[in-house]
Amino acid sequence: MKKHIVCVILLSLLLFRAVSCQAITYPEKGGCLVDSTGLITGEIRRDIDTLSERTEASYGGRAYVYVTHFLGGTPVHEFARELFDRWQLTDQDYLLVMVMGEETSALLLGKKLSSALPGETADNVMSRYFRPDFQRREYGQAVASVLPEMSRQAARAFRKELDVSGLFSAQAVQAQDSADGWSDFITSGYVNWLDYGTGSQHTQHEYKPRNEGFHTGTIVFLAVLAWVLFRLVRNKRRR
Amino acid sequence: MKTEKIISWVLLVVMIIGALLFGAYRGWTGEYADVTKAAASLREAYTARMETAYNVLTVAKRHLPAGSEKIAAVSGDHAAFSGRQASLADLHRASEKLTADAAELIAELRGQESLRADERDSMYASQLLPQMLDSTENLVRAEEKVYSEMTGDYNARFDKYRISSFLAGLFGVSRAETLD
Repeated sequence: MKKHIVCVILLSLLLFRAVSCQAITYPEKGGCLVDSTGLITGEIRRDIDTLSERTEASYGGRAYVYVTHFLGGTPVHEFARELFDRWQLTDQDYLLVMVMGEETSALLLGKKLSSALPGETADNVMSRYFRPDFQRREYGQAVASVLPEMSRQAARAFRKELDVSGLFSAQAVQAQDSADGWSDFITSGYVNWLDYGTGSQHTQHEYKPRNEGFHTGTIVFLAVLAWVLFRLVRNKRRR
Repeated sequence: MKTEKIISWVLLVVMIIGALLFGAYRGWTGEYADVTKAAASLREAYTARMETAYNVLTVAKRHLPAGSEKIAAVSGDHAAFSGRQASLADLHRASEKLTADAAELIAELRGQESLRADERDSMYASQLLPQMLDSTENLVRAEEKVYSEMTGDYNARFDKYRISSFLAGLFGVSRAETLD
């Protein structure tokens, strides 16, 4: 009898079944410039990379830029903060986010950089060197003005030297700002809404219909149960 | 000896009932977890739709007057998506309504002189925003189809196996929310 009960308990374990869950993601970090608009020219991109290499050699931090059309309602500073964390940028880096369609932008500094710079420096740099050109949609000029200046300020704060000469030539800036980017965009036919929306990505859920009917464990359990009850009844009759 | 027999019998019955209870609980909670995951995936798709509505409004507000009825309609749809307590049925209705409202808004936007003079916003109104609306609509429809199939099966089983679903209900498992 006791053996039978032990069997029942152990076989109850056959009724166990395992149960098995996704998140909105931000754009992947890819170099110093992530441009989901496709509008930033190659030369400007190269200059951003070069500037970042120089700043890293100078004071240990890099400049990062993210360009997109829309954020879908997420406030730009909140987005920038989240992106800074997700890209695991260091305390000496800074991140510039440009949202062309919403005409907003944000500059986020790493903690060490933020502490090293005097209070309103970042805001002043943005107001003076970035926003006027950005609002005029002269994106090349905006980037060409703000990045070298911000990098110079950062190097000065850490008492390091930084050479920004030879970068963001007038020619490259003019090429950026006079590029027929919007028309090219229209004719290119390339749109990945995942990139051009908020930068969020979605993994589609698949439905696998659950199998109807009994599982093997259930069948075995019922069979053992039937055997146990049969033995009990037989033993009772014998007595 | 007799006492031992009685105890054994009682223990046997308790174990059988316990196994059935536990089986019901694990089975139903497993299915409920799948339904919950599908609902979360569907809500993500509605979030993408809401974000697209916001993008359309961003561009429209630059070229249309503040009191525009079309802007108000899409704003209303956006607000419906934004409600934290919104049910899936409400979100489904908002998504359906957004398709028509956004199309009307973009059509009105394209008629604006100021938009035609703005190359960037022209591109948004003629290319990017319609494509975002189409893409999110397709995504929502695909997710809704999956979710409806899953909840249809689940709810049918929930209603069919009343005893085990009642037992599972004691542990928080319930019928799945539908889109109707």
